[in-house]
Formats: sequence, C-alpha cells, structure tokens
Amino acid sequence: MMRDHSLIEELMAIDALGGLDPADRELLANERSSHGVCEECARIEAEFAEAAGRLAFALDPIAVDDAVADAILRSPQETTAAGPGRVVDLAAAREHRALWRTLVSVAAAVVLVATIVILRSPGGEVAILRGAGPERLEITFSPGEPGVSLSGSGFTDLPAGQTYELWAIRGDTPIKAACFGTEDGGVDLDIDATIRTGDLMAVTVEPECASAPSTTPIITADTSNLT
Amino acid sequence: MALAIADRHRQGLPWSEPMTALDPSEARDRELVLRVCRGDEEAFRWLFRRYAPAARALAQRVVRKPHLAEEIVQEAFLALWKNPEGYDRDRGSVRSWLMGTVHHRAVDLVRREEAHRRRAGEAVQDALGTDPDPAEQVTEELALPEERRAVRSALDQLPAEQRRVIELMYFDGLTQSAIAEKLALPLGTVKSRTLLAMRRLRTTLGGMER
Repeated sequence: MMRDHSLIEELMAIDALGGLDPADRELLANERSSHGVCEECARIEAEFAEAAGRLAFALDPIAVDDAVADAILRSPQETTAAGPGRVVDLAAAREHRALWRTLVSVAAAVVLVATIVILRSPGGEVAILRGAGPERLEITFSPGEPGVSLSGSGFTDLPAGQTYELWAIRGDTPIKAACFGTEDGGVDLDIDATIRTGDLMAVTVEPECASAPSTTPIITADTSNLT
Repeated sequence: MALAIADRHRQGLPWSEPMTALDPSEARDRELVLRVCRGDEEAFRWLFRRYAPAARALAQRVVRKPHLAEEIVQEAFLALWKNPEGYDRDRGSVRSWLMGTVHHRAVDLVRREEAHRRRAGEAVQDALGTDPDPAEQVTEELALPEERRAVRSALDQLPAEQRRVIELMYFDGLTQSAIAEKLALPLGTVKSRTLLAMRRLRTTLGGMER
C-alpha cells in the first residue's frame, strides 16, 4: 500500500526553498528516516529541487570576472605543494575520497565531510566541512599542534541522547577529536585536539560520545573493495 | 538506486541514458560536467561563464552584499571543480544543481549573520541591508534570456499570495516562521501556500529533465 506523502511533500517543498525552521528540519529528517528508501520521496525531492534551482534564472544576471575561474583552476596545483598561504585540499587524495565514499555509504550518520582547507592567517588553517544541507563547520587549527577551534552553523539541534562527533581520519584510522552539541544550529567551541595536514575530517551523529572509534559505523565499514 | 554520472563513467556505462525530455543545453551541460570529472579546464570555464552570472545574481539577492556574493559563487564553483562527482543527474539538471548549491550557501550565510546578531543582542533589523557595488553590472552575455523568460512567466502565473511567499523564502532567504511573522499569517498558511506554489512551479517549469 502506498504511504501517505502529504507531510513529507510539504516539508520538502519548503526545504527546497531553504525555508524550513530547525524544528521542521528535524521533522523532515525523521520523516525521511521513517520512509526509508522511497522512490516517491526521491522523486518529490528531486522535482522540487529542480524547480527551486530554476528560480534563480528569474533574476538579471550579474557579470563575474573570468579571474575568479582562473583562481579556482589554479587551486589544485597549489594543493600539491601545501604550505603557508596555499590552498590545501584535505580530501584530494584519491584513496581518501574512495574511502570516504564507502564510509559515507555505510555510515548513514555521517553528516559532514571535509571539502577544502584554506589558510586564514600565518599561524592557522581552516578546514571547511559542509553537509548536504546547510550544515557548515569551520575548523581552525595549526597543523600538528594542540588546540582547535570549531565554528559552525546550520546544524539540526540533536535530541537528548545524541551528539555530534568530530573525527580526524589519519590513514585509515578515525581518531576522535571532540564531541559537541549545537544551540540554535550553531557551535562555537575550542577543543584540545591535534590535527595534522593531510587528516581527513568528518562529523558523525553518535548515540554517545564514543571513546573508541570501533563503536561507530565508520570503523566497521568494509573497505576491502576500495579502489 | 540510480548511479551518479561519475559512477557511470567509472563503470563504462552510458552516463546519459536515452531521455525523452532532455533539452540540448542540458545534455551539453552534463557532457561538460563529465569532462570536468576528467579535469577538463575548458569545460569548467564554459560552465562558469554560462552559470556564474546567474549564481552571482542569486547570491547577491539573498545576502545583499556583493563581496559576499562573489565569495559564495567562488566557493560553489570551487566545489564543482574539486568534486564534480557530486552532481547526480537523477536529482535534476546541472543548472538547478549549481543554483541549489549557491542558494544553500547564501541562505546559510544569512542565517549565520542573523544568529550572530541575536547572540550579540543587536536589534533584529534588516542589518544586511544593501551594499551596492558601483562596478556591478548586469550582463547580457550568456544571460540565458529564454530561461529567464520562462521562469518569470512561471512566477507570474502564480497567485500573488503564493508568489509573495516564494519570493520571501527563496530570494530573501526567510524561513517559514519569519514569513508568517512578516505577513502576519498563520504558519500553516505559509506552508500550504509554499506547497501549492511549488507544485505549480514544478509543473510549469517542466519538472525534471531526466
């Protein structure tokens, strides 16, 4: 029997336009979970996303200098020679990307993965993690030195009994960096962790602040088929 | 589960399956994204020239600050260059995906600024304001005029009260509750108007081009 999609359709319509309040974002997450793998949900979401994306073209376009494209295209070369003042790609290594594709597919609780690191000041780098939605986390650190600052927004405030957990993936080993909660979807926190250049960062949702990574879906991922 | 184009590419599958309603420009966009997956800079530049102006307009409309809008556009296209595999053709067109990326970032930025202001105890006001850039210019080059006409027409076909909600939510980055407060409407009315409007838009804009 076909499930009722009226609630999730309404939530997805608003979500496509970026208009959900935090409480309804959580409700949508619960609805998604409740519907599980659902072709109808996927169709509704895709169609609304398509319509929403097209709305942008109602506006008069504004010229963008080709130099912006040049700067973007230059960034990968700088990635290979990471150093002060350079743009660094934490997720550039192909094995890391492949690993993460598998990890994310197994660990449904993974909400953020690292995208880029940029130098903010001579003494610190900033890893910017983004989720599929509005979640964004900036991790400011000095490579190899203790002391990390977290600043994030767009998160769903978790119910009691759940926590966000930050991981540094070093090689194939997830290393716990910190657990954190959010307030009004935001987080500002200093933690006593050490991140090295080349670590891959991730955030998961955990039932409790895990002391050992073996308790999380991350470490149980089957990586034997990685390319 | 449908495969993303990069997966299709890796598996040697035709990444652009026979489609009945795929317009030529979308087919070309998908080909360009595939080329970006291979590191083709020219393909990236083509997508950039075609869509960065619309992305800039969208970001600027939401955040109201030209320099922030430019950063958002740069971030979005950097993400395209670094992770083109993120595009999944089964979730819509390339252009909608790109604009969705830009919109997410712009709305996120607006909300963060609002949250910071709230934490700082500042009065809630339209502090984002406008920050006009004298160098700003509307570009007609690659301006996708037909697309613009179609979307504007679709918006014009909406009842005024539905169009208003869509404009406030999408272009001004307001949440459903903020719109309810602004328009002095019950939250449920805002939700139902949004849903009705989006149903119409997905029909008039042709839905997905798979």
